[in-house]
Order: sequence, then C-alpha cells, then structure tokens
Amino acid sequence: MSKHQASAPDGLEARYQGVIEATVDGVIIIDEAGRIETFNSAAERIFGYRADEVLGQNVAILMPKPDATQHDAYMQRYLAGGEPRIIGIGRQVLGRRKSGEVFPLELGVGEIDDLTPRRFIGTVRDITRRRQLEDALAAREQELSQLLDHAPIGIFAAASSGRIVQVNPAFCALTGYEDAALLNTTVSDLTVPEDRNYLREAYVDVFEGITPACQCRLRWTHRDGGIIHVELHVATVASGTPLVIGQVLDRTEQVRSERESREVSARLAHAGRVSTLGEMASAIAHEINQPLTAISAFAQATRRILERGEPDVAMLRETLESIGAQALRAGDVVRRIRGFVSNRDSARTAADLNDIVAGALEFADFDLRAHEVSVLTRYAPGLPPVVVDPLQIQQVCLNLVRNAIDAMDAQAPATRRLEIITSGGNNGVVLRCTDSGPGVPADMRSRLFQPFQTTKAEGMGMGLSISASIVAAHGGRLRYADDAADGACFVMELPAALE
Amino acid sequence: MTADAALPTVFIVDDDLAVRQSLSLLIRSMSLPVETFESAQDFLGRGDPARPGCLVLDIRMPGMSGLELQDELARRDFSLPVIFITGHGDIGMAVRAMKSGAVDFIEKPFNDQVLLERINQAIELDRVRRAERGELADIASRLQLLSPREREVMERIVAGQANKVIAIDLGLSERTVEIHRAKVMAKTGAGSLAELVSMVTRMNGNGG
Repeated sequence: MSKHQASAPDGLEARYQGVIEATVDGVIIIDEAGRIETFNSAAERIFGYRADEVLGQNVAILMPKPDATQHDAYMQRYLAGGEPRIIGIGRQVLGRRKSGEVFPLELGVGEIDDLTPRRFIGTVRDITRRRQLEDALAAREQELSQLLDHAPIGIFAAASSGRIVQVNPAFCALTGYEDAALLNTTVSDLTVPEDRNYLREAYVDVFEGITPACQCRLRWTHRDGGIIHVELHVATVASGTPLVIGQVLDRTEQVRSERESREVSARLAHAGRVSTLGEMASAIAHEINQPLTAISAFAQATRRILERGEPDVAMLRETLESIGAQALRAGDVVRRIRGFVSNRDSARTAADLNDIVAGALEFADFDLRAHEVSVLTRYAPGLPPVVVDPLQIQQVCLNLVRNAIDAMDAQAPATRRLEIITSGGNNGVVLRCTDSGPGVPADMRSRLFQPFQTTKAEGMGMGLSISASIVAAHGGRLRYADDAADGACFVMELPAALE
Repeated sequence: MTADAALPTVFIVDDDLAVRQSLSLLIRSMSLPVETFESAQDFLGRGDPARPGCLVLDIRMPGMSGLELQDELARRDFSLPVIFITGHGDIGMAVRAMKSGAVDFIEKPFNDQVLLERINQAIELDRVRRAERGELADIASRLQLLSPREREVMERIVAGQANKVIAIDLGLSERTVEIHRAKVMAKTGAGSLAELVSMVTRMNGNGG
C-alpha cells in the first residue's frame, strides 16, 4: 500500500490515475477494510482534507454519525454476501468536512472486483448549493401557495384548451364548486352562453400571443344556478408554457347596486313626467270647470226667473251675455292647451323613430319588469328621419306602453306580452304597439281619443287625448287598429322629414 | 243687498268673478238674500258673526284656501254652517272639510235643485243652532237671578230630595224651603219640576 497521494492501488494502470485526477467529482477508493487508498483533488476540495491527511484512514472520518460508526458494519455485511444497499445505486447522503461541517452530497459507489483484494470506488458531488436552491424553491413555492390560498380574489391557471388546471379557495368560493369539480371544466363552461363568444375573442388573443393579457366582464353561472358578474384578467405565463393565469374579481354586488341606482333614477324621471302630465290634466280640468260652473248657474237662474213670470228683460239679456262670455272663456282654455301642446316647434329636430321608441322603453323598463311583461321589439332598419320634438313623441310612446301595462294587469303574468314594431312606408314611419290584454270594446273605440274617457279607476282619461293632439301637431296620426287579432293595437304614423 | 240683517243670508266666498256672479243670481232667483266675497280675507274683514244664514265656500282659492278659512272661523267662534263647492279631483280636501264640521260639499258644476236643498238645510241648521244658543243664554240669565240660598235649594230639588230632607240638611224650616222653592220656580219660569230639571241639565250639559 503506497502512501503517495496519487498512488494507484497495486495493479491499477497509471492512465487511470490521470482520469481520476481530472474528474470534477471527488473520487475516493477504499480497500475491503474501509481504508482510503485514493483521494483526488476534487475530494480534497470537497472535504477540506489534504490527501496525505486521509490516506490509510478509515473512510468513516468523512461521515457524520450514525454512518461514521456503522460504516464498517455495512461493509462487513456486504462482504459476507449481503444485498448491495448503495453499490451501483447511488444516493444522497451526508458528508463531514475537516471543519466538522456536515453537508449533503451525492454518492455513487462501485466495486473494482478485478483486483484482489477488492476495492470500492466512490464518487462524491457536493450538493450543498443545489440543496439550498431546492430549499429556497420549496419555500418560495410554499409562499406562493399561501398567497394563492389567502388571496381574496379568485385565481386559476388554465391550459391552452381552456381547461382549468389549478384554482385557489377564493375561486371555489366564488363559483360554489369544489376544486376537484373545477379541474375538469373550462372557463367557457362557467360563462353564461350569451357571453361565451365575447370570452373566446378575448381569450384567443392571449393564447395566440396577440396580446400578453386581456380583461373582460362576464356573467358566470354559480353552482346554485345564480348569475355572478365577474371581471376576468387573463395573462400568459412568461415562461412560454401554454398556460394562462386568470384573476377573477366578483362584481355582482357592484352590478346590483349600479342597477338599483339606475332604476331609482329612471323611476324618479318617470314619476316626474307622469306627475307633470297628471298635474297638467288637473289644472286643465279646473280651468274648464270654472266657466262651466258659471254657465250652468246662469242658465238655471234664468230658467227660474222665467218661471216666476214678469221677467226683467234687461237682466235676462245681461245673463245671456254672461253665458256666452263664459262659453268663450272655456274655449279659450282649450285653445291655450292646444297652443301648449303644439307651440314647441323650436324643440323639433330630425330624429330616428327607433331611437325615440328605445328611449321610451328604457323609461318604462322598470314598470315593464315590475309587471312581468315580456316585450318583443322589432325595429325596422334604415327608417327615414322624422322632424319632431323627441321628448313629446317619447311621451306618447311611454303613454302607450303604460296603457298596455295597465290593460294587462288583471291577467296572469305569463300571458302579458307587448309587441313594439316600427316600419317605414307611405312617406312616413309607423309605430305599432300591441298588447295581449282584453282590447278596447267596439263601443268605446270611437270615443277613445276624446278627453276624460277612461276605463281606469284612477285615470283622468287625458292620456290618449293629449297623445293624439301631440301626434296631430306633428302632422301625424294616432289611431286604434281594428285589425289586431287580440289585445289592443295602437298605431302612430308620422310623416318623414322632407328632403 | 243688505236688506234685513235679521234675514238668513247666503254668503258666497269664491275668487272667480263669473262663478260669484252666476251663483249670486241663481240664489237670488230662489228668493234668498245673497252677499258675495272675493276672498277669505274679504269675508273675515266684512263678515258679521251675528248674522244668520250659511256660507258657500270655494275650497280652492289663491291666498287663504277654503279649508284654512273654515279653521280660522272655528277659532273665532263663527258658527255659520259651511257648504263647500269643489272642483274635479278635490275629493280628498272635501272629506277633510267634512271632518272639520262642514255640513256638505257639492261638486262644480252643480244642479240648482241640489244647491237649493243644501242651502235650505244649512240655513235651517243655523236657525236651530241659534235658537238653541238663545235659549241657553236665556236660561243662564234667569238662573243668574237666584240668590245663593235659592240656588242651593234648587240643586237639591233637582237631585230629587224632598222638602223635609232639604230643610234638615240646610237647617231651615220646611216652610222656608217651600218659599225658596216657589221663588226658584218663579224666577226660572219653569212650569213644572220636570221643566226645571231639563233646564239645569241643559245648562250643565253645555259645559256650565
């Protein structure tokens, strides 16, 4: 047994010595008794011993306990014919440097069995650095996982097929599903059918690398069947894997409160208009009632005076003149109403009937939904413009819709249907408003547009009368269509604007 | 037009000149005296609570409304019965007016027969109320004539005590009680014990 640092065991060819020296891994050769015979430079670097310090020493000095105390026993067991536990297998074990520092190393052991006595060759690689990196990575992963678990917003990862591969608890809470159930679904599955195209467009751009990230607002279906409003942010993972990370914000509450505030303002605006019409009708009623009261009282007084005999002719003449004057006064009130309705030319502008009707329906939206009326609209495209006061025409449309709602109130909600159709023709535009109510009895139709005709307990009977005046003032016509199969059908015709 | 102040008169308060004139003519054609006022303030200024009749009041007037005038008259102990005339849609106000003591309301324009009936009823009500108030005032003045001792004796008579009991209670002779009793009957003008009881009850019932 040589004591030379690089000395090879007897019979080992010198050329192997060069190979062993040049190997980047530590190489240690021991004999059957565990004594170190070869200790290359890499091993010196790893363990901090010079070769001459360890040659001839039991290899156990390179190990911490318990391996250090058991190593001899391991070898004897193997030499006695035991199964190899490390030879030809390799494993990660702990080493011990000269400084006493214990460190992880990757060990491979082979047997040189063509020599007698037998030798064992070990290659060692210091994996301290690698282990540190692995640990750091594991810690980082742990942190990320904590972050995901406690994130208040839903987060998911999805493959390019859209299939969800990972979700966090907030995502599960948002959708109502267990994560196991979600892993087999796609984002599209969660999205309501109407919004899927929109999602696809946004999603595809991200997957195809057209944009690095996208954001869209969608409606998803909760496990309980309810609709949840979400804002979805999707971004590709930078590593270039076909994976996207999505973040999901729950906007349901926000959407609900926005809608509520919209409904309140629509209701207020609506109430404002309706009460204006109601107050106007009441004021008109009072204005007309005064001269009527006077006329009636004068006439009755005249009759009484005549019945008494020997009438004062001068006084009777005066009374008749008063009656005439009061009749003219009533006529004057009527003229003023007409003027109020038609004397608004300044507000007239070229407008699209479809826009006006859509605006009226928006105003009536709250009432329509409150009364569970289903609305079918068919807007003819490319209608010629009409020159109107859009507010007044909208008021007419709103009045028709409100009448329809009232007319259908007594029947089952499922049968409440309102059909709004616009069309062009005869140098004008036409709106047909048809409800599924009982319709207007034939004997009522001729008086429909006269004031104070109403079938409603609380109605003034002024709506259709004023509406008809407004439409007439615009050169159009509001009529009842007798041809409707069932329900009431009102038709508003307006002339198209001249070129 | 201010013919006889003692004759029941229809007082009309309405801001509309034509309504005032026609109503005035119609009521005069029914042979009833009429006076017209163009506002609530006008009536408060010129109206005389002593004059009998009824008030025909427009419920809707600029300035002080008919309802406010009704409240003000009640505060001033003006007891004239009120008939409101209302327009379309004033039913809520009319109900309030009735609750505040109006005798009736009629809607414009009105039927003359209905108006005449209401006016006659209101005038009759006013007459009854005034007569009642007159009688009470009369009884009060007669009771005023009694001496303290006579009043004591009267209270016991009305309570149903016999002369003997009253004499012992008040420490008088039965004869003296009989004299007091005769004076009470004479001063109050009551023809019988029943009449005396009725008088005292009405006075007490009227809040004394």
